[in-house]
Amino acid sequence: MAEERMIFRCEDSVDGIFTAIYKAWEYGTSRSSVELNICATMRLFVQYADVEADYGIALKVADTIRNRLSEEVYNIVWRAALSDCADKAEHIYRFLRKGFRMGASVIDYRQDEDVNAVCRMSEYAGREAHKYTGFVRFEENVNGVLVARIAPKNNIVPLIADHFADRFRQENWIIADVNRGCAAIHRAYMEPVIMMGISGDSIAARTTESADETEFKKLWSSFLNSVSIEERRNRRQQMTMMPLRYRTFMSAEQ
Amino acid sequence: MVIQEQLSLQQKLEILSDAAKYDVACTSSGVDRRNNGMGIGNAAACGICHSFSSDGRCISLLKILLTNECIYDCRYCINRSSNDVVRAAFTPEEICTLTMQFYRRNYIEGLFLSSGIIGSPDNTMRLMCETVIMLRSRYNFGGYIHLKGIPGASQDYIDLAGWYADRMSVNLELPTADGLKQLAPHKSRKKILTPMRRIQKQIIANGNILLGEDSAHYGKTSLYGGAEASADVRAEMSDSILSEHGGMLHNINDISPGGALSVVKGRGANTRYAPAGQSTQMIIGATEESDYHIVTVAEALYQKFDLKRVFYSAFINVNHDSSLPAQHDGEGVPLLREHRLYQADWLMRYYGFKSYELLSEQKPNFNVLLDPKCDWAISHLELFPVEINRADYYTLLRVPGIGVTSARRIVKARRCAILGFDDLKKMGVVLKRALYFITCNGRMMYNTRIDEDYITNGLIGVEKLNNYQIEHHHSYRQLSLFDDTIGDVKLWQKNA
Repeated sequence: MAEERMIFRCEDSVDGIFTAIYKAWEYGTSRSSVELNICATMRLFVQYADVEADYGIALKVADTIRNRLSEEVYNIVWRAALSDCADKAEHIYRFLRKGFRMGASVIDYRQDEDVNAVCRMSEYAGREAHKYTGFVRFEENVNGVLVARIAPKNNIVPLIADHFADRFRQENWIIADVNRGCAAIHRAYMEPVIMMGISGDSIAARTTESADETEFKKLWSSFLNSVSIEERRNRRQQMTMMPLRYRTFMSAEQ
Repeated sequence: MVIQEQLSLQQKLEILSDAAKYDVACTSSGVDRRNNGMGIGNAAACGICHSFSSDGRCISLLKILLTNECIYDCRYCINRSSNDVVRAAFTPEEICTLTMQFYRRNYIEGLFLSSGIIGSPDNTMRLMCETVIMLRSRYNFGGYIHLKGIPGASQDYIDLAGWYADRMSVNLELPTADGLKQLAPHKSRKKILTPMRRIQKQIIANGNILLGEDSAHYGKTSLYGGAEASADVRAEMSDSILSEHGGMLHNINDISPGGALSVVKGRGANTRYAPAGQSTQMIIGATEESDYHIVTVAEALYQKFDLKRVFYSAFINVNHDSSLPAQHDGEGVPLLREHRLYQADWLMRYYGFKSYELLSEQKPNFNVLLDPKCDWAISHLELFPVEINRADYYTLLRVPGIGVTSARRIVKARRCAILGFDDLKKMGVVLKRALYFITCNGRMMYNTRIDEDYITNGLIGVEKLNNYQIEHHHSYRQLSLFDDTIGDVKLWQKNA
């Protein structure tokens, strides 16, 4: 008798998803799927297996994608795994199965449901990350550390950390995702580190403004005011380009 | 004219950003540069918007004037010498502090520095150069800098500036020389085009143009010809640039002994001259030019001056000048016209359209109801329908509803399988526009006719809402099923 269909459940992280994909592959691709453990609805007539994220295994999967497909495909999969879509794990799993059959050109095959889904998730996360490279607002605290808080839909902190590490190389800075409790922490001239399990309170405690900060906030606020043209006033356009959800921690753009 | 003394930094910023707001370009694109390891900052070729003002325009750069004092009296300009406005001027240090502090808080992508003419064009350009050199050298600023070239400034200063700024721009102001004579009596076409040409020559001589990130996909052969020719020049100049450049710095040091320039050693901050290229802007609707006139001017600028961008600025009668078109209560700012010109500009730069395909002497203005691409397609129905599975890339680009991204996706995807309408939707094709012009595997999507009136009717329904929103950006009124007619009547009246 054939073994039962198995669903591998994993935590919502790149490592978790990659580990589950590895386990599912091992079990047999024709009778396995992958799901995030936040998906509550369970199904009948299938077995469930909970998978612990394993950094070593995830690294193996990542290397295989890089070597057998391409760096570009890896980046797409990576961004998709950071996106905020409940069914991303299964789509990535099926995408990779097709990928290893077709090669790196799999990403051109947009008419396929899974390829399209993975590309869309990747674009969705990538677009938000790009928006946040502009919309992150640092506040200088009394110790001269730049602290930024964001509330993104996707898990974009890993996507933007390198950009800011290059740009503000000689600064000490923190970008904290208040929704997920994760943060990128950068010491001057070092590589940024992504930390998990950071509480909102511990970030808030570090945001006591320096004396300069208040002044430059005021200057920025008056610049925003004076630079807009009254005769062209168009709040709708502003709202389209910069929806309110981005502005939670932009004090001047409220 | 007296420059106010003892203004606070806050007041200066208010005055000088308010005075700079009519400058259009706030783009920070065109150059990719990693942190140089010495200081703060990098640049991203895609450009990054940091905020959006209440007029919906992107804020990417700290857009300010060095001073709003001006010896010229251009009728359209808020800073003209005959206006009684508070005058202020930044010191280079103030500009550097603002830029650095805004930049490290991630408010901005860099600096956009323009200026009124204080004393003489040369004096103004010298102050501007001093500021950016200070920013690059003393503050080690690695972010984006957009610098205006001042018409009438000497060649030396123009040559110098591009080694520190990412993008240079000289304002064309008005599309024609006549308009310029009428409205800006102190400026002349020649004075504007001279620095523009000089910047172009420097860019070509210093090997920037080959990359051509922003250039159109085809139809720019002259551009590559120019770059090839410059290979010899470059070889010849490889040594002389350094010495020439150093020599010039020496001259400027003589002009301002002990000034900011004395900190500069060797060549500028850039490895190429103005790596993000050159742009310009012109005012739309202050003078009588037709759209046809404007797009041909823009096309000539792209071809003959290798510009990266031409910006259009809907005329606003800030001075309530009686010789200029009246605008009561903010009505009559030609925003839809500006929008159409940008659409046409995109078609020329990315879609391979020529100005004569879009407009002509007989049809000098854009259709108010249809965007230029739809308008072109409807008057060239003999070329349609296009078969998605066979048409080449450039033919696909000409279909309304298909853009650069979706055309690329189609070309790649159809290698694996025959595409249907559902697949097109996944690739981002706007089917409500495209469906009149395409077949998939020999079939139209619906039973539509290749008929001018029929398609026009279908497309106008799609466009109407967009146009209405551009024209009536002031109003907060909820759109309802029943006020379409109101919008319609207004649009037609404007057309008449």
